Amino acid sequence: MIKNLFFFISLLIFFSCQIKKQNHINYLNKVNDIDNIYRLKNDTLTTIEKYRKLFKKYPPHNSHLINEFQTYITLSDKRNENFGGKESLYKLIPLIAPNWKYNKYDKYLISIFKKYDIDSIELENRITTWKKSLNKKLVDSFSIAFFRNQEFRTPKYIEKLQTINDKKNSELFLWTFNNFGFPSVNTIGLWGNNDIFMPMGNILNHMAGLDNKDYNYFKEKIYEYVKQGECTPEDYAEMIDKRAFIEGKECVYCNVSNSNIKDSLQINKNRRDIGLPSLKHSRKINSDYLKKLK
Amino acid sequence: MKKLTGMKKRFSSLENKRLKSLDSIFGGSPGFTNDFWSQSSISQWNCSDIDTYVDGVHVQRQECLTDDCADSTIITK
Repeated sequence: MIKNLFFFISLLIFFSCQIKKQNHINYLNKVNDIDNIYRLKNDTLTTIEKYRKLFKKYPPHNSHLINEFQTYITLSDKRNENFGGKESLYKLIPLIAPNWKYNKYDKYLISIFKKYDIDSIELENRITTWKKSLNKKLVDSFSIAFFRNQEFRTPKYIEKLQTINDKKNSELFLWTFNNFGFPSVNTIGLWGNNDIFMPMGNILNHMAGLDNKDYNYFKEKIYEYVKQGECTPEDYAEMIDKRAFIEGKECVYCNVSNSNIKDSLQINKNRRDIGLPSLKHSRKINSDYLKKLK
Repeated sequence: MKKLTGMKKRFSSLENKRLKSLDSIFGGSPGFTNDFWSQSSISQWNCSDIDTYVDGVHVQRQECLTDDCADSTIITK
């Protein structure tokens, strides 16, 4: 009987892990649908309710510029709705930790932490703990890779040397995929050694070159990482669209503000297939974000 | 977001400056400014598209309309 119970629980854990892994694109599309209600229909209460249900099923996550878990907390706080209090705020910390360098200036966010007795010392300590959880070996390797990514590209472009650098970075990616999986922000962070900026989309963009003989492998492998929630769809799209651009083909996901879009229905379908919001929705997300910066 | 507020006022002028001078594109020292600018290019072009990051957040990706971003007119939306 105990043996059977153990077997049943193991099976349950195994399947729940599989569901989590396979369903990240489904999750992203659910987030996009909820964000659509919030942003385009301005229905805050429905948004909170839908996010509450979503986070009962899925672990906390912040998508690019949507920041759904953070949005759920701040909207709930403004409306005095229960968002899980301190426990949820602790779950938010690893999500804001990668860009803590700037997130720490978000006074409203910090005030919510204070409201729940999480002071700046505790926050800093938890951010330090998060930093320690990163893969040191990969942080070191990718800090160098991101330096190489720009070394001969700006301000003066030296093609021969930069091509060698991009090749080295391509090899590092392959080694990382084989040994550790995808170097996500939860693995390497966003700011590396000596405070080097490590934007994944940008470096993947440079993996799309015709001289990258492993491009097809990158395409296939990184798509799997998108499905698992390790790579963001924006970063993946950047590489795919860059390749299309180089080959003179039309963009697949068209995450470019001045893209020439002919078939928006097909593009929106492509976007949904990897969990990106529709073109119209994305434009709204971006313009809202830029308005916030004003 | 006090820092962001101050930054936005310089957004357009910095962008204009960026288009005229590649020196101001990402690659500068962190801490010098709140803004980070990143140029994406590969060997086929000197500059085919630009990613813009503000305070560590990717906010825009644009294609350049000519091979040289410094002289091209970029639609900002």
